[in-house]
Amino acid sequence: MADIEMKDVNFSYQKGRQVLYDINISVERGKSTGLIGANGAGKSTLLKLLVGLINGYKGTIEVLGQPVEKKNLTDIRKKVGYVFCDSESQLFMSTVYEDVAFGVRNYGYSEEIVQKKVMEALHKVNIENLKDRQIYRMSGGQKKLASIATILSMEPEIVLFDEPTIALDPKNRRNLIGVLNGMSETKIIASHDLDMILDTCEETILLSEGKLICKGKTEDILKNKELLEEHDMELPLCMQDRRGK
Amino acid sequence: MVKLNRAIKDIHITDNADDGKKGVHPISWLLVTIVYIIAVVSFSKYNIIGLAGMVLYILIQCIWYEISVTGMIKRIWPVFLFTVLLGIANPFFDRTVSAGVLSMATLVLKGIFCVAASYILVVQTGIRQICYALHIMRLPKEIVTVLLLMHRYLIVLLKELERMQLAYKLRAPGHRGLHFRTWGSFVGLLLLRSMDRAGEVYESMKLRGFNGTFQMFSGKYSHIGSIVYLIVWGAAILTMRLFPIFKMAEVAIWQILR
Repeated sequence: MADIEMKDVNFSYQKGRQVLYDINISVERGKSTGLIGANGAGKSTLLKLLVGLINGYKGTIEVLGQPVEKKNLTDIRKKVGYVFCDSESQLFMSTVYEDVAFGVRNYGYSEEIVQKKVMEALHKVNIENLKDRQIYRMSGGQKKLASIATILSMEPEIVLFDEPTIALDPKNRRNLIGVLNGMSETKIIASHDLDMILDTCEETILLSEGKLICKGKTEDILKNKELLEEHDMELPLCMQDRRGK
Repeated sequence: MVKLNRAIKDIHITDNADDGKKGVHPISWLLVTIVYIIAVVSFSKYNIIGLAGMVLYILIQCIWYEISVTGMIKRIWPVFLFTVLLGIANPFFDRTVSAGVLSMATLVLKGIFCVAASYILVVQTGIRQICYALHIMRLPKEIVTVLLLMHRYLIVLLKELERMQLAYKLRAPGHRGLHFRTWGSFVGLLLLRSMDRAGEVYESMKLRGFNGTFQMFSGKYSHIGSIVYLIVWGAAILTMRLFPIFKMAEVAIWQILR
């Protein structure tokens, strides 16, 4: 069964500036799917459409069997987590605990359950020790993990990541890849970091200028040098000739 | 730059300074502060000796809860200047020059005491617990939410300002402050950027179930402790208001010395 279904989706921010053209995507339950494309390809827009952060699309979008419409948004957002590209936008409370608890509290759980869910989420991303840390004292890598914990505490069925490895050093990036691989939820990861996509995603979708170019096994797409270059991308670093030849 | 960074840190510290660690319910803190401010404001403009006794509340709070007095003075320094500016005409327009100086000094003290008491409240309880207390006191939830959102927006605005100021300084190393020609674009861009960022923060909140109301929750407080705190301080403030403590102390000291 597909968790996410997009049929003939077209979207434009304003008249005459179309961002997505006839997108047809289906993401199966439990799968990790990479979303790649050059800058301006429409990756973030596509993710935002899935949680109703932007609306006015044409076509059909169904998430967990529910059409993405205003009346369903509360329910959809309860089940779909969105990790922002910039952790500064995601984390707005004072401490890690408070931020991770924010979403759970909004759904009316008692403080005991809130505490349990928060601790579980922090455990999943290995930052229990940062529970009481103030956000502004954290490093970029720690903030990214805390952002993921804010989503995991709500126990979503689907998690959407927008550029999760951006501005992370190699060690934090490796740590994040471990966390992503340890997650059992359905995931869509939008990124330019093709090596990370290779490490974390079974399937990959390639977008270019708002059009769906192809969808298939990650290795097949990321090995295809001509395909990538045709759409302003390059092979993952691990597949490139390091001498630049 | 350093000042801006310190301001951001200060605001973060006041985010949820207490959450019950000191055992006193925020409503007790808030009520005591309100009573204190009303008492301070109610002194007549020539009763400086009576008013001076109200400093005891500030001093005892600072000692008891280990609040840095120098830190507090640094933060309320602008209030001193502001109240001096407000009262500077008093010596010329009051009954006599000495009465005018007295009323100006009273005005300055009132301003400083009120702001110091508010400072102590914010440092001890944190903005979220103050809003929680306001929520219990049946203040409309819209006002409480707006207060909390303003607090959030202030942080966003200051962080953007810090980034922009850093970018400016790195490319204008010889300048002291912003050149007046860049003020317009700088402020405009600052507002646009902080609005964008605030929009993202709001999106993040909506995605985590925010429906326009912050979920208020109480920390772990001692009910008896909170009631005792309220009664003791309430009584002490009323005593300080009704009896000129310093005058009485002076008389007592003279009697002892004799």
